[in-house]
Amino acid sequence: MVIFNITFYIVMLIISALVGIYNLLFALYAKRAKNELIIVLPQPLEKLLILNMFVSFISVIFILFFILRLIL
Amino acid sequence: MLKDHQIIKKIGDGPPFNTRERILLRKRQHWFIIIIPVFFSIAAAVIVTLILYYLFVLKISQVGLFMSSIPVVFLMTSSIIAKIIVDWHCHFYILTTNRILEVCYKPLFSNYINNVILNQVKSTEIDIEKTGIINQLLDMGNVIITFDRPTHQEEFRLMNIKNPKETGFLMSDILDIEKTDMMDAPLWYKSKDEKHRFRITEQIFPRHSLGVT
Repeated sequence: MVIFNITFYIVMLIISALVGIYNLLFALYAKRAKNELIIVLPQPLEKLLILNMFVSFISVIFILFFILRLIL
Repeated sequence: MLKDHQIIKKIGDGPPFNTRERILLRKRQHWFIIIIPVFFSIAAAVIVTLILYYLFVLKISQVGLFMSSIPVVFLMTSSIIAKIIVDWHCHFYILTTNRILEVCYKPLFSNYINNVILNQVKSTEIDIEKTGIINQLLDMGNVIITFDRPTHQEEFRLMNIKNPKETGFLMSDILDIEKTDMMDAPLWYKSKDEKHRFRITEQIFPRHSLGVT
């Protein structure tokens, strides 16, 4: 059961980190659209992307905490 | 030694566009087309959360697993919704006096710009489609412009836009103005005279009111 729990936490950790990186790249490329094609994203959308990055960061720490608690 | 006219300038260095060029129309797809995928994303997230709750909390009593999977479900759902909305926002059509432009920019995925210079092509058809109950209720449809090209495969499609009829009429007016030497008469479905919109039927059947006995 412990091995299953650790595996599950690691998978969740990897997914949340990847989604955070994806959101960061997405936000950067959306900014590029502003420079190259003069397409400006609405403020709520930009805030949603920043919120996603923040949630990703928090969830990585949260899952790390669960893993450490299980190991130690 | 290169002469001035032989130097290829960057787009940014050249004149922005013809100063007489005016923007006549800017259209996005109808907002309704993002409602269904956003709704399904939220519904899928709720179902996955319920399944995880059932499996981890009710079945094996591992609250930690459930707590760690919730932010991931939220993240994935909000990322999918953000992508749907950004893709919709960055896909639009611009009609100016000189060109029709379709810009479809999907950040991180694809980039597509279709630019048709109106005085270089001859339009042969402007079709307006509005099929289905929802499209009728929301006044949403497609405008398809066929240009005279050898294959006849090339079409400019304005998909799922609001007020397709008005847009189609505006297109026909613009293409009509640009091609005065080719089309003397206005298109049959749009007469300049509001009292005689269906001019061609009157020309074929003078003094007959079609459909009325």
